[in-house]
Amino acid sequence: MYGDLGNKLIREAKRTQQLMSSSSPAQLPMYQEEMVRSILKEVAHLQRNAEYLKEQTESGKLFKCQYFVTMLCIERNKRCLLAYEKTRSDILDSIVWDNNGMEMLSSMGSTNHSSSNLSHPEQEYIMEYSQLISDMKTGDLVDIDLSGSLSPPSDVFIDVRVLKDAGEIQTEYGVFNLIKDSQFFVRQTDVERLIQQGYLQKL
Amino acid sequence: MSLPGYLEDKFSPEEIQFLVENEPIKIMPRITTRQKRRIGSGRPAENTTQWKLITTNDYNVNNMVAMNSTEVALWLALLLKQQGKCSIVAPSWLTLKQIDKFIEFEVRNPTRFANLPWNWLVIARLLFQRAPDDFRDPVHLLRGKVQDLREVRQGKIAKGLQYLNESHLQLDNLSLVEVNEMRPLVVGVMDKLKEVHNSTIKENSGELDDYDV
Repeated sequence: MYGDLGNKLIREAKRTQQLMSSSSPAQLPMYQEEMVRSILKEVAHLQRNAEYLKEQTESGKLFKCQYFVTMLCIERNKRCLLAYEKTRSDILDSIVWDNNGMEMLSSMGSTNHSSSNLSHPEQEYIMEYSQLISDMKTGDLVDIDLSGSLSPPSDVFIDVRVLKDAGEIQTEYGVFNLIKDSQFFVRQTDVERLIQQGYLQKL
Repeated sequence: MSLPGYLEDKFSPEEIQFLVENEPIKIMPRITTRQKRRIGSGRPAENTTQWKLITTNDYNVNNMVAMNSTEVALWLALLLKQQGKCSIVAPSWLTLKQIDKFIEFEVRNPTRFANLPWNWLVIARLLFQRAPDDFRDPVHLLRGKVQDLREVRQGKIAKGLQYLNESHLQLDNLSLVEVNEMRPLVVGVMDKLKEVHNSTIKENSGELDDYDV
């Protein structure tokens, strides 16, 4: 039947959703290009049918019904495709908010290592969306790091342990020498980004 | 999205703590910040720092006298407590006697909740954790009582869930934590009930219209 492929695509979207809700920083699964293309083919086929039916000037109830059902099938496919794309774009948005734009904004390439899993328009979308975010951050709200941590601050100073060797990096507030397994007692605001990137572990 | 999914329909526990930390609480400072006015020279000493707080009223902070009780925001009290610069005065409801009364009320009135402050769970947890030496009653007993109270109320909440309906629910005296942890369940279920209810109403009225014609 006509809706079946769309159904399959939706099941795929559902699986993606569950995958992302269970483990947040996982990578997005492959874009189902095959499936999408066959759905589009089906839609084109339906469209041809519809046009043919339209040309059939001897309008009876039968033709009207056929035309209507064809339209419904197209609608159905459209809905499935949009739902799939929307699921993926939501996940992409949250990825961009979580990881990108942290610290150096130029780190586009290294963060989404799943970029081969994205379709080409999606890659373009993610680029432009992160551009939008950085535009917003350089606008009126420069003082606030909008993509910063959402859990409210509780302790001013915290203990952190270095998990990964990073050499001497950092920061707006001074230089740390991040040697593996060393421990620091620092202001939380200074190291929040390094914690988010996985260099430090909060104690 | 900019807001992660787990924050979309409720507060996180940290956010609730953040809200509660804005409430005023009584403290006994161990430092004096009030400026002495020298007799003779009419102006205050200039080398002392004056605090300027943007989130709370800074008058009290600038006029602390050691061992004279004053009221400041909870977050400030905890900060000072951490450095040993004050002791926190436990709120009047956080005593063995008062909590016993609350528990008694809870047991005697199976359909109502005792009139505790909206932030009692968070306050109790924070003070037990950060200022356990400031209570007059032994903390382990208080902890036990608070746990008792919580469990009695939880039982009632669970019982109250059977009255979920599509129109309303009355939750007098329920604290923010308790409301927040049942929020996703209750709101979800009530939304569904409402949906079902409304759809039947529409259908019925539609049928009526048909009959009219």
